[in-house]
Amino acid sequence: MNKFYNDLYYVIRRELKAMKRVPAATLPAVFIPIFFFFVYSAALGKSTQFLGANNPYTFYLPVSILLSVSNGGAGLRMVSDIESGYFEKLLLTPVNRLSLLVGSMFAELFKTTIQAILVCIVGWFSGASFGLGILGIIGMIILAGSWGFVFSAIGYTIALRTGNVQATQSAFVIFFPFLFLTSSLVPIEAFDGWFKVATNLNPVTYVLEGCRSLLTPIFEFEKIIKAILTIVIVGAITISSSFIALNKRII
Amino acid sequence: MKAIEIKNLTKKYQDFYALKNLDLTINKGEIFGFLGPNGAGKSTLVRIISTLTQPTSGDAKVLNYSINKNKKEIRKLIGVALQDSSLDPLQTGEELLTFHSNLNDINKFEIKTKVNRILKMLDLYESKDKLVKTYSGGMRRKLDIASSLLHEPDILFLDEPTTGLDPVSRQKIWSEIKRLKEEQGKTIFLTTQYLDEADKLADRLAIINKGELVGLGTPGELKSMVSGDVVEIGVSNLSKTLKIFNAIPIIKQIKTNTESKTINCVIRNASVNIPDIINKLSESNIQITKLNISPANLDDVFLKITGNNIKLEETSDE
Repeated sequence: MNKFYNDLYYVIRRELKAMKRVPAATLPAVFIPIFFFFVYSAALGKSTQFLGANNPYTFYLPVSILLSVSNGGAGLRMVSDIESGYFEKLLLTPVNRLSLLVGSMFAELFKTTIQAILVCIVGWFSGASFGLGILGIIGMIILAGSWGFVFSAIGYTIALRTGNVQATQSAFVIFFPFLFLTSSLVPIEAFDGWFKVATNLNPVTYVLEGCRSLLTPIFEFEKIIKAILTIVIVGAITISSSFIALNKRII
Repeated sequence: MKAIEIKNLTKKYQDFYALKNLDLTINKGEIFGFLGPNGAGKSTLVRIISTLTQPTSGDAKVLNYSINKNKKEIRKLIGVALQDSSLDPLQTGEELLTFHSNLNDINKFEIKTKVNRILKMLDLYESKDKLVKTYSGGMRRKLDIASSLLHEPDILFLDEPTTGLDPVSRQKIWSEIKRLKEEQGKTIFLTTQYLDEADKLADRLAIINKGELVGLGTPGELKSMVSGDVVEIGVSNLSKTLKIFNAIPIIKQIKTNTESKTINCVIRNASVNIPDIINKLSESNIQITKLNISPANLDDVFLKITGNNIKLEETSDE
């Protein structure tokens, strides 16, 4: 077990150094959500107010944060290593195999958390309100970061299964329909028909509502529990898939 | 003492045999060359012995550890530089070696000294703070070898270590390989498609073609398989010369080139016998336009064993 933690530390360190050296790779994951944050707030602000959301900035901030943490290009470094052959070079060492995957995922978690914080800061300057104060902000970042972590496992699964950069990049495309089949644009109470059913079936809805509830002045325990449960269930599936993919990749 | 013992090793991809019933023993402390064209099965063998690929059947023992049962133990004992220098471009040379030292469980207090020593040894010390992506092909190859040497492995696998390198870099890598054997007593398993490389470096050689072992011995032993000197002769009348040559028993392995009007063949004791042959050609009014005599080399050995020139065989990637 010591070997696992030892290798985990060095794998995370290597990943973070690489992130620091190519900041441009992180910029789209911050810029695009901020862009949507302003566009939605300006274009749909009045409609959402009419439908019951008091502050459009507060309403759209969690959407942008989820967009940011799910837009990290998870698994791209790993798939580059696979394509270049460096992953095999690492497998030729006595490195703990699991640490290669978990280390990369933790580095991704660190990156997405920073992204979430940056989007949060922009939201605060724009006029989003944080009803539960600093604890609410921290809670939302933890929820969003955890979601980013379990979602990143999809990217790693694709990376390990295919060893192909283009296929791994497509992981983000998977997230798009999930994000928009939620209460991302208008409050959930306004939905009806098939869209309401789809929204209720969509796990992202519960994460989004959980994040939103942490920005309101009233602590909504049920929504937070639902968000945590969703992350745990989705995480159990995505993380175990990535572990299976790792096992298939190595002999 | 045996360093590697390969027994009946086979690797099959659907209907294609990358390796077929390979038996081979490599002794401790020797440079063992594994020679063959692209696609012959060289890299497959390195990947199997270094635990990256599972064989279809058979086994190999690396310092008495089975590749089927003791992968973890083997990884601690070997260093491997694969065919394509695959390194992390976003680390500096020093960072990359330090990272690999940590993964190889090298004592934390020794890492800096070891990394610096190895960087100096391979002339990379001046570039240690530069990102790997800025390194030249030769520097990357050396860094790859350096990363394979950090944990002082008993056996070093070098898969085509000089492919694609300029002559100066090749010479430097050759000196390092020789030095590793002479000063540190390492067993080195070297695959190559360069005959001169195999000839200069290897104590013993195996020739592989289409997954099968077709020759084994010291470079001298293998060259003695071609009993004679290699002669290239340019003539005014090719068909007439061919008839004369076919009638002379000491002339073997005759190959003609109609474009250049030349004949390549092997003649026993050519320096003594060639004047008589020239006289016979003159008597038939055949003019000689070119004459080259050279001792047999490994290419001739390969030609004799497989019926093809090694360069002509290089058609597909492994």
